Amino acid sequence: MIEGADLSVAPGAVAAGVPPSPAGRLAARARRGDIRPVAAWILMLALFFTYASLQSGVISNAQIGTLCADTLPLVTLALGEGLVIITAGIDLSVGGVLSLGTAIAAVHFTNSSQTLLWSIVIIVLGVTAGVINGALIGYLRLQPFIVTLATWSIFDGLALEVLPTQGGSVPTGFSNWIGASTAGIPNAVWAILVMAVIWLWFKQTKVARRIYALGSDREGARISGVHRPRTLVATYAISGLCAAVAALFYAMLTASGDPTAGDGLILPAVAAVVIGGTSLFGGQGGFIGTIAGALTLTLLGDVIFVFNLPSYWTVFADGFLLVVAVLLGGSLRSLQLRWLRR
Amino acid sequence: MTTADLDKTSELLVVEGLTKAFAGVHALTDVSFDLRAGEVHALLGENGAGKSTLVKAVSGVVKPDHGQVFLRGQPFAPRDPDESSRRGVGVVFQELPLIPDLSVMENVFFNRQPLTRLGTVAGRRMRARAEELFSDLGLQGLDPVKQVRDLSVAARQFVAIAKVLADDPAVVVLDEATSALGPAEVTWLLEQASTLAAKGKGIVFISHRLAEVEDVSDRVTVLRNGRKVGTWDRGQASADDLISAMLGRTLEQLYPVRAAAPRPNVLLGVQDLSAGRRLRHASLDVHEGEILGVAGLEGQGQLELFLSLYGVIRSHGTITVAGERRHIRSPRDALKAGIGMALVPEDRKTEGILPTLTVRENLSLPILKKLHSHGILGRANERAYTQPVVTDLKIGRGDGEQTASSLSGGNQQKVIVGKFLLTGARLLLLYDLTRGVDVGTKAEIFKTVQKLANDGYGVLFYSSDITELANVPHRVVVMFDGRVTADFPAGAFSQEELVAAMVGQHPGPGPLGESDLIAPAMP
Repeated sequence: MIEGADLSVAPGAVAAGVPPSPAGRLAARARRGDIRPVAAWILMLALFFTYASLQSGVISNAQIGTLCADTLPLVTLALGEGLVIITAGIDLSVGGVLSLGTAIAAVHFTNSSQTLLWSIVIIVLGVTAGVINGALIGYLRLQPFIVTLATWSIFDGLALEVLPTQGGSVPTGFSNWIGASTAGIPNAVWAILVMAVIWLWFKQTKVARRIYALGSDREGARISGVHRPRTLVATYAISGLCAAVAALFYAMLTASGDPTAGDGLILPAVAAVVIGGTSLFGGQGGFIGTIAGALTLTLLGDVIFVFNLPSYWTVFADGFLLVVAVLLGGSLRSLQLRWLRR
Repeated sequence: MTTADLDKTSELLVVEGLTKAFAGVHALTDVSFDLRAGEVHALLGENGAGKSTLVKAVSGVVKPDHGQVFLRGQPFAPRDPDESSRRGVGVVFQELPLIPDLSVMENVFFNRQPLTRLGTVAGRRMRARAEELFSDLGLQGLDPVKQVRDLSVAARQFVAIAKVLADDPAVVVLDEATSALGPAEVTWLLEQASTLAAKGKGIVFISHRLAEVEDVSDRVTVLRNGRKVGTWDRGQASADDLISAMLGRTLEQLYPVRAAAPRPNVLLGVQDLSAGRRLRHASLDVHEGEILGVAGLEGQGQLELFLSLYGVIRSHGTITVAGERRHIRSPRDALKAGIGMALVPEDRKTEGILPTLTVRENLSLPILKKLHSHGILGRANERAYTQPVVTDLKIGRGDGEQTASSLSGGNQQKVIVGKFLLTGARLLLLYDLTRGVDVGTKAEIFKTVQKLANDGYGVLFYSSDITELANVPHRVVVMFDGRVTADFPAGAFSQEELVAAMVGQHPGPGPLGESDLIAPAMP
């Protein structure tokens, strides 16, 4: 359907409209804003209150802390994945980076100084992985899907080399952080809030504008002076960094290592991004919706648990929800736009 | 410094011996060009003559194989158009490469956004700057915070122009910048070009509309097949001379003789048709063998009219085809009713052509059902259906076996028309079919249209080019504010009257002096 897009500029003829009041501006902004992240938050809250009505004590500081802790690795992974998806790409290798990171943590985190040292190593590895992905995709013009599918496998292989089977452990002082509180608020909640604040800042920077521009229209971005390879390297490096941090959170959460931990998190990471309203076509979306998407997936698992269904139902539900989100995402936005044009 | 070097400094922009080949095919061969401060220099040529390549080579989109560019006597080789614009050569590209998901002001100031101390984009300051820029340019109607995705092509054109002018470059290149604009907007742009030239800037103006070129340019350079044919001062070459230079031959007639008078029976009747916000109770008739021109400024409901008739958007009202009332809710319904549509979608990127398939395969796609037997397509059978159309419309080489991507723009348009002829359509909706098309191809398209009318087809012909409307159709209706507000028989109106009707004044023709008539042959 082709919409007769608006704006008839009669050059020189139309006088500037009366400047809108602040309230009017806010309303206009709300109308222009994408409805999809809002829908994701509504879905998440609906699920949350459903869960709360099924299970007592959900609406408590401790329970919300647990929910956020359970979601923390996923939401961190999805922060980077979302950025890649905004460039109309995909990063499957984050699964491999996460596996490798937790494997290293389980083997080398023996005391606090080793933990610090090897955390840095994990982060450097994550960023390096991202830079390699970005360079292959940006400079050599390879397909993101193929490149990151390959590097995923490579990092998974390295993870198995570091830690052949599930096991190992991390210092309790390290793993306890994720369940502790600071100033009365669970650390996991703080972590998500901090990421959200960083995101809100980042989204307003020039780098972010270039990333959005690249995903929105590659040719337009090029003509506007966006250096595609450099921007992609930055994007995938951020994604690798996020995956490394997610690995640390994952190690805290499980207090041990799993060389295949990341494999099961790739689909949920993409799903969290898509449920959160980021378009797979690139150029649209952001982390605020992704937070709701990630929490939705965790809550879904919790609700399935409450119903005493076998845990593989979660895997099924994740995939199902992803398809539904892809289906609904596009139509929700076009419905909104159609309504706005009315 | 040699004398030649000194000469260069007196010119604003000098291009010397530029050569560029793509995969061995020469797009530009040894082209030289110069632009003086304070002049509008038009660049003319058919599609594929090398105008756009020249612009791209100067602004860093493509790297020339040989040759050099000088800006104010200094070598000029920007890495990309962004740098080119910063250093003084701003290009409004034909393809309007804007970023759809960003706002108007974000596009205008891309990579130049004012920043706060936190390194974030200062939205309010940027908005103020955008509003100031737009008001300087007389573009107050442009909303800085609106997403580019939601803008019409004309509005995008304004954004692209504002984006280039925001850098205040010494050289402004307008590549087909008027092709998406209506008459009032074209006037605005031509005025801007003259104003900028008066301020000492150099303007390179590329357009297929000769009338505009003659209006605005001080000099004209013609390219043909990637080579420069020559440069003429204003008034030195007539329109005919320029056309011959572009074609390498003389074109006897751009506008062929009109088809015989339409037959009395009404082929398409439209009554009180409404769709969306734009189309409101429009009524018109198209007779058998008639070419009915539709005129209108951008956004007066003409696009909605065409899309409604082809079932792309939902409409209310009465549509009759050959006396029978039809409910058209989808293109399938339209095809069943015998309505075919050749639409040049506004961005020209998707034309309903499958570029990797042959002409034959493109043509047979809508009628595959008729062609296959026992699940197999007989190629002979397929050719039997498609070849007459290929021959009739003179598509490309004429054998139907070349890929659509190897065809010229005009031939691709013919494939679109041909597809509908094969489906048995008796009525063709042609929406701005000649936009951005060179004169040689235009003449071919007009010939095809007149031939179809002679064969009894009905044609609804919308064009944004007034000269075309004056010379091709049997009759022209004007759309204003969603309605048909005026109806002019061919030859019985002046260009001024048509424009007056298009802006909503004075419906209907009055008595005319002979001199007011638009010449029926050349522009």
